[in-house]
Amino acid sequence: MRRLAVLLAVILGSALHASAWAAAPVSGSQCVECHQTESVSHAYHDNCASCHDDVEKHSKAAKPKTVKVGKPEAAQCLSCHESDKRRMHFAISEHNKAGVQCRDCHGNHTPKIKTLSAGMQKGGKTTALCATCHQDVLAKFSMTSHHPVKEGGATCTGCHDPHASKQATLGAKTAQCTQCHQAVRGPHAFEHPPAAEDCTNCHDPHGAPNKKLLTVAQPMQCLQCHSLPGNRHGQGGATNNTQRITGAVLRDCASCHGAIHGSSADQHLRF
Amino acid sequence: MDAKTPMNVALTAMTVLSVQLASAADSAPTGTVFSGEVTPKLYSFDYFKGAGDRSTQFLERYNYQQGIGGDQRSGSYLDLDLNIVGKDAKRNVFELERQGFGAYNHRGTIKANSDTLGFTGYHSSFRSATGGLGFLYSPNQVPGGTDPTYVSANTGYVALFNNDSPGQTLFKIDRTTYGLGLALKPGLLGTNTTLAMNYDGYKRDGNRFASYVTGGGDITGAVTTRWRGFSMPVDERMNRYTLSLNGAPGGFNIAYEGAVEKFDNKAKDFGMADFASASFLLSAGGLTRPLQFVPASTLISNNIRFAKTYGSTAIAAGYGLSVLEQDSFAPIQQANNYSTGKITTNSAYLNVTSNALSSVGLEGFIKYNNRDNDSTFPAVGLLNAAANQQLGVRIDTIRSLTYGLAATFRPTTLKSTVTVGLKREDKDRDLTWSTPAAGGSIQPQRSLYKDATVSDELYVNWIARPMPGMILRVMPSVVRANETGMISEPESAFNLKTKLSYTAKSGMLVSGYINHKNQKNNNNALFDNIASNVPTTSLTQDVNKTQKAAGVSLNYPVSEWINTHGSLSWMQDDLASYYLSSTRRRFEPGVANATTLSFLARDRSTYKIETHVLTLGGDWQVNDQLSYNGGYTYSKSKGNTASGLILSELSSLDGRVSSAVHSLALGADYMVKKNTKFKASYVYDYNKDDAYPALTGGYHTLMLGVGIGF
Repeated sequence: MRRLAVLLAVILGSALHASAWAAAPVSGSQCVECHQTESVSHAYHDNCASCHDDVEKHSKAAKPKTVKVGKPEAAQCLSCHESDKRRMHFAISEHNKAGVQCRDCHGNHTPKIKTLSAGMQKGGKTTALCATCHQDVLAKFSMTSHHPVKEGGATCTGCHDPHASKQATLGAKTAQCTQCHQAVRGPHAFEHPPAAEDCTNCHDPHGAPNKKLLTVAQPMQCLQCHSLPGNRHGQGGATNNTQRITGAVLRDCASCHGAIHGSSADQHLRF
Repeated sequence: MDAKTPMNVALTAMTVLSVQLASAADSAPTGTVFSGEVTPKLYSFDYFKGAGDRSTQFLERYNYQQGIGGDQRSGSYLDLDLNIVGKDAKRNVFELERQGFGAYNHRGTIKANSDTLGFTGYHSSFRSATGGLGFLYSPNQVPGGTDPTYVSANTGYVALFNNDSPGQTLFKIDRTTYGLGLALKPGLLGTNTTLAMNYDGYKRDGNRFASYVTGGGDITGAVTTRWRGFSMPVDERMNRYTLSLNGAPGGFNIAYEGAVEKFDNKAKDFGMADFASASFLLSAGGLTRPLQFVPASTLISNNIRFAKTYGSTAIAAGYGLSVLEQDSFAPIQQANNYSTGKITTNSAYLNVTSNALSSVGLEGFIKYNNRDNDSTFPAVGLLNAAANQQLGVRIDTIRSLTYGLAATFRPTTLKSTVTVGLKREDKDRDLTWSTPAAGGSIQPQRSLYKDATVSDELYVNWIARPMPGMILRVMPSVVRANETGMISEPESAFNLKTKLSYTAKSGMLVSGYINHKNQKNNNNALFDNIASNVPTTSLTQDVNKTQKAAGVSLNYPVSEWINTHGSLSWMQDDLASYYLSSTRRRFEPGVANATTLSFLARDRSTYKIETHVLTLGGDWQVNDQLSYNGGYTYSKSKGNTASGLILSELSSLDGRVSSAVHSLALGADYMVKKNTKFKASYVYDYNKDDAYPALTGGYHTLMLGVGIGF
């Protein structure tokens, strides 16, 4: 009821002030008289007309609610924020190409995510914000093995820069993962090529039904590239390619080849 | 949080600086107003079922709790949330936030801002219990260290398990991250230039279960404990120092970033000799053979980026150079004069976009990446192409060039934006293989790793807004490759991502998505006889991988006070490939490479797992004082990790995935007076594993807190 009264007052106030503003340009302080909530803003954002189109028409209308003000396009935001190093390539970013505007994530007046439910407390507001669009990724964080994003151990923006472009990445292709997982980056005297080239050859960083974020469970993950020699993995050790290879061997290749990301001393990646 | 940590001292210093900053801002006409909320919380938890008191619980992997008395199965603990904001007419000049979920999961940030300076600091701690998903291999978790299914006289090379760390059943790693940042804003420097200095660091402490297998000539004989497990210490530190400089002289945006990142592994000397009973495992010459040696390393990177707009044409370009160097070496490396481990990466890109034509937007890009291996080579005695079993393949250089063109149209039909693009990736690898005469060597014909990748991708991005509030995204792409360097690269692929969302004026949001990704590769072959480097018959691997996903979600505000949401997602991962075996190893010592090695496709095996995720939730603002919220998530994965011959050898524990997790979270807030709020939450998680019932278990957690505002 109280909100309704405030709303009526705002509408009435707007109508009364409309004639008074007719002769003068619109300023932020005039807008604030009705839009008090939106007035809580960052420095340099106090001129409503610098971001919103049709402010003057809206303010002068007899019924301002009937004349919508335009919401800022990304280009308007970038006219000020493009010199920021994180946003200087937003024009070629994946988000921009997908039609995502700054306002879709950033609430300039109030945060997009205001409160968190009990289940998202640990995940935090940034994760909750990304999840509003990336439902397919959010679902993966509920799989058996996943990065602890919902649990508070990692965040989406810890790996992904939402303003960046894949076309403008610099450095090693594995750099995105090894900025946290330095222990596997080497340099290794004996490299495992798929690990050296791209972590996602074997791992799905968001989630997987297999341990260690493997996209495919062992041994199938490894057997795509590797053949098993009878004289080493076979039951009897004979030199043939038809003897039995038991589940004790097949169940987990990395149990023996423990230095799977690369080794300092062993060609066979055992140590 | 340990008040004596350097990070806390730094945060304290930051607080002082920030308060000073805030005091300075107090001189502004409106002054600085501080507000916030402090919420002391009491948690009580209880784990049930699971693998027993002395073993790692599956759900502890992501939610490690410990009571005041040290009990990690049932107990209570205290924590505190903080949220303090100092605000003036322009901005938040000070922010301090801490969220705590127990001693092993908490985080905090501090920020201070003025016209000229910006400070940031952060700290977080997260404990993960390891050995949960690798449960079967953990010492003492299973009698004998391996599942009874495999304990028999006929288990081949890895027969029985030896536990080198008896009594160690709990595995856990603490990751603590921290950082500080200082930005000198344009207001201070008097230009449009910003200078920022950042420090980021982390430490990882704990232990993890690791395993290895010893070498040896005997395969099925007396030495049956070649497969060994042990508690591997983890003690790592990372410190990164970054300097950033951005400016826009003459409308020409330039950003430079230089960073030095130092990684130190204090547990690097852990080796086989640490096991008294394993002294026979020392390498020739009595050197300690390290176990999964993790070297200390330093990464130095320098990046510079440019952006400039000329009318309706924008140019973006960048260049980066990073050098990763090994700082510590294993004894066996030192003994064999392996003194340099170094990877140098050069990368650059150029992107041009133009809207000069009113009807079509154009984009062209090119990206270059070169990875050079500048490490010691050869290191005689360790890494040597001419010696027995001292090299499989060495990656000398990987050079890739990716380039493409795209055109964007904006047809009025359905208010659409359509982008059509063509992209080519050309990757060359310089690889060094063992010298054929060496014996014990792998020749390129016997590997599925190749030196070239050339692929083309045609893609379309269609975004339509057929009615107010509705957005449709359809993004298909097709890939065709002439050459592939790895099996994981597609010889042909079809990807489709679609999403439809609708936001009604009432606030209702409904959306759905369908993703389909299929990639095939039967481009890479193995050759059996490489006599005189002339391959005879070949065997081609054939991989077909499909990932499908679909989902719907609904966010429905029942009223101004009640909001509900729900979603259902389905994912299916499906892979089929040949199960290949050979008569002998590809590099058999003492056997000339000319000797025929017979590869055989024994079976075609399929991996197929389906996952369903259901979420339901809502919140209800009962009145100005009382609100409730709740959510339930159900996730189930089911399927076989292989089929046919492989599946017949695996026990159900390894050959089958069948697990479900139920998560229920309920919360309530009650404002007893203007600045005091009671908070409560209850979380119930239950993991049910039908493939390995010992992993089944759950926990309850109850939280009671009082939020005190000011």
